This record gives sequence, C-alpha cells and structure tokens, in this order.
Amino acid sequence: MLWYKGWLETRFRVLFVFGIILFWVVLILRNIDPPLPRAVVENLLNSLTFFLLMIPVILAGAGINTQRILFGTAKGLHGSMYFTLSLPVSRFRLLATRAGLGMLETIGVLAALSCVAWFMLPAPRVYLTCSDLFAYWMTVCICISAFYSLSVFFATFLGDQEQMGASGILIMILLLISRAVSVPSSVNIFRAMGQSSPLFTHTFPWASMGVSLGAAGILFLAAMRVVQTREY
Amino acid sequence: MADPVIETQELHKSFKGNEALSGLNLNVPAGSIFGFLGRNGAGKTTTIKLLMGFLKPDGGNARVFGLPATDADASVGIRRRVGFVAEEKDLYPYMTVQQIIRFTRSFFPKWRDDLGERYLRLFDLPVSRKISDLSKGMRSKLMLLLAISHGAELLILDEPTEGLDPVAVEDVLRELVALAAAEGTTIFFSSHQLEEVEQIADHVCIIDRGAAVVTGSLDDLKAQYQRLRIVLAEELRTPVDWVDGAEHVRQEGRTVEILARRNVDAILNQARALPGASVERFPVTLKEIFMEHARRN
Repeated sequence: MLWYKGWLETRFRVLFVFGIILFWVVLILRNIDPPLPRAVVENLLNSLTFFLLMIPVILAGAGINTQRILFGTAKGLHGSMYFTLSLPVSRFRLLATRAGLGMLETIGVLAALSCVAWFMLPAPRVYLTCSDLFAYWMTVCICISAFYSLSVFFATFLGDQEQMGASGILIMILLLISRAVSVPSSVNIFRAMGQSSPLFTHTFPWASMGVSLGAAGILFLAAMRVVQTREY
Repeated sequence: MADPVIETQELHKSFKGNEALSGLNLNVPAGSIFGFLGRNGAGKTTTIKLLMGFLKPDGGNARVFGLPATDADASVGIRRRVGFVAEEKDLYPYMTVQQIIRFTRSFFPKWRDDLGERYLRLFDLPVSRKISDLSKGMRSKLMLLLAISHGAELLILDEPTEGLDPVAVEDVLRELVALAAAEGTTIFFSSHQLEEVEQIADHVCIIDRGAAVVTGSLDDLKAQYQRLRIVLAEELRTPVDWVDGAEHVRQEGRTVEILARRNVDAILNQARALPGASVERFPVTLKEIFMEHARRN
C-alpha cells in the first residue's frame, strides 16, 4: 500500500505537469504550418526539453518525508513522517517504492503526451514516423532518469518545496553550462533530448543514455545511503 | 520478574554536543503498564525514538523483545510488534479516516477488525472525514486506534492523551488498562500528567538529564517513600541533623514536614525524641516523588 500513499500524494501533481506541458504542446503545434526550417524545430524541441525537465522535479520523492498535495496544506506533514517510519518496512522499501512510483508516473506522463501529440495534432505526423516518436519517448525516459534521481536524492534530506527549488535550480544551471561549455555531444544528456534526439538522427543516442543511466544509478545509491544512515 | 520487553543499558545520545541521554538504564517488564516521566527535555522522546529505530545511540544498547533496536533489519521486526503514537499527533492530511485504517491494516497481518470497529465507535471517529479536517484530539484518538488495532504486543505511546478532553482521557486510560489486562499487552507511555500515570501505571521511571533517577514498581516506590509531619511543643532553635533518608525537610513554625525515602523508622524515632513531638506518617503521591526529584535537580 505504500504505492497507494505515493499515488495519493502525487496524483494532482501528475495532472498538473501533464496539463501544463500539454497546454504548451497544443499551443505550439496547433499553430505550426509545415514544413518548418530545422532550426525552428530544434528551438521548439529545446523549449520542450525545458518543460520536460520539470516532470522529475515535481514528481520525485523519497518516501519518508510526507509530501503536500501540489498546493495543499503543509500542516502536519513533518509529524506524519514518524508514522511512516513506525511502519514495519525498511527505509529502503520506503525509498524504492516512492521513487519507483514517481518514475513510472514520469514515464506515463511522457507516454500520454506523445500519444496526444501524435493522435490529436497533425503537425507531428507530417515530420515524424511513429517509430521516431517511440524512440524519442524512450530516449527522453532514460535521459530524464538522471534528473529524476537527482531530485530523489534531494528529497532524502530536504523538505518538499526545498527539494523542488534545489533540483530545479541545479538542473537549470547544468542546462546553461551544457549550452555555454562545449560538452561532447555524445555524452550531453540535454542535447540527446534535443538536437541529437532520434527525431533528427533516427538513431538512439546510446552514449548519452548510458551516461544518464549511470548518473541515475549513482544518485539513487547516494539517496539510499542517506536514507539508511539518517536520523529522524 | 517477567522478562523485560524493553531493556536499555548505559544508553547515550548527544545532539550537537548537548547530552540528551547520559547512560540510561531501563527495564520494562512484559505485561506491565510503564509510565515514563520527566520534565521537558529530560530525554523521554529521544529514548522513544531510539527504541523505534529513528535515532542511533552514541553508546550503550537498547533491546526490544530481545532484539537490538539499533539494527535496521531487527528494527523492522520490532515495529511489526509495536503500536506507536508519536509526540506529534500527525497523520497524512490528505487521507480520510477510512483510507488510513485500510492503509495501516495492510502492513499488519494480525490486524484486529473487532478492535478497529470498537474504537471507531468508542472514539466517535467519522470514517469519511479527511485527517486534515480532524481536531488534534480526534487525531490522537485515531493514532491510538491504529496503534492498538494491529494486535501489537507492545504499545509505545508518547504523550498519548495530549489534546484530549477529560472524558476522552478517561475513556483512553480505561481502554489501555483493559487492553493490558485482556491481551497482556505491555504499555510504555510517557506523560506529563502525573495523575494519569498514577491512575494506570504499575511501574514508573523518572528520567532527568538523560538518566533514570527513580525506577521500579509504583507500589514499591510508594512503600519506600513516606511523608512525616511532626508537630513540636515549641519551635526548634537549632536545625536537626536528620538521619540519612530524609530527602526533603521543610519547617514552618512548630511544624516540620519530611519526605523520607529510606530509614523511615530511624527518622520516626529521631522525631519522637524531640521535645513534645507528635508524629504522623502519610503515604506519598507520585506527584510528590516527582516534585521532590524535580526540585533537587
């Protein structure tokens, strides 16, 4: 039932991020008149990447601190952490269940957005094949996992809002650095969701995906370490 | 004496250089109702958090059901057998009463539906109301329901009656006693309400600055302590050097009051030897014992 608690905490967040990104996607794609120059499409994809990075920041959690429902009350959240800790489950299970649920929600939101964009809007069908879109979805899911784990890591020792703030700021700093400094494109995770994505290259950016998965694994292990050693 | 359900030896814990526990030794017998007393900051909540595995000690050891509370795996096993009410009476604000009961039930295979329903009725809890809309008293009652209904062998309750009205306090205390009697559940609870502790506890521990200063069965403690009132023919001109055991001596005019802990008979003899002394002895209340230690420290 830990997943149920996680779902009650995050269900409105899922709707919120889905609604915001869908709004942006529909707004942009409805007014596109194909064909567009590649530079314009790249710019659109960069903007989309920015929105997609919001998803892990908002949906991540570590399962020990109780999270508020989007804009709901914060009253009693800290105290309820002791109720969670008193349950006969290991801290690892609390972390893994909540982190796993948030990642599944992230994957689900990305899938739903891809489906809506494909079936309801004409523009993507002009430029893309269904398999391109599927490859893009898979790439984004894997590339976003590093940022998701970063948010989970912050959630192990920060409160709900502080975690969102810290993750959001750090991800934005990394995004700006990746644009300002010449990071090799083969390992640039942001680029793998934009210019180097399967939408343009029709192939998976394996190196970037590997880097992302590696970073996600390391950050998750760090989160696990914090949760297991921390005192409450 | 029954095997201890909770046992701590030389338990130490500091926070940023401040010593919260300084060698706490605790022995909670199985089936007892154990009152854990102390002033604010004495170390009660820290002890409870250590027993529940939320904190790790700096030294010493703590065992619950013979299992080390500091071991992560053993702690899961301990929590399966323990019903817990935290000092903060907070639960997930977004769940309804029904949802949190269903949620908690899923973790405890020995959940007792009969107890759950009984306490829902007794505490008059509205099942469809959100926890964020419950009063503090109702949240306290709900936490007690969750702690009791999972068939726990040990209840660890941190200020369980805090926020309850006097009628609800009586209901809760009566139910705790009934539970201990009917199910053999050990109840370890901290409280500032000395009358409550005296009403239901059969064992107590008074903790001060992280160490136990008084511990034992309440009956033994009451037998140990006596209050003596000596009325003299005339006011004493020079102070009396009372024998060891006269813990607190207060003189007002011709009347001397003594709280005696040991050597009560020797103190009585010493008092009777004073000119024109008439001596009465009274049983002491837990509050008097507590206040004596609070004053001394």
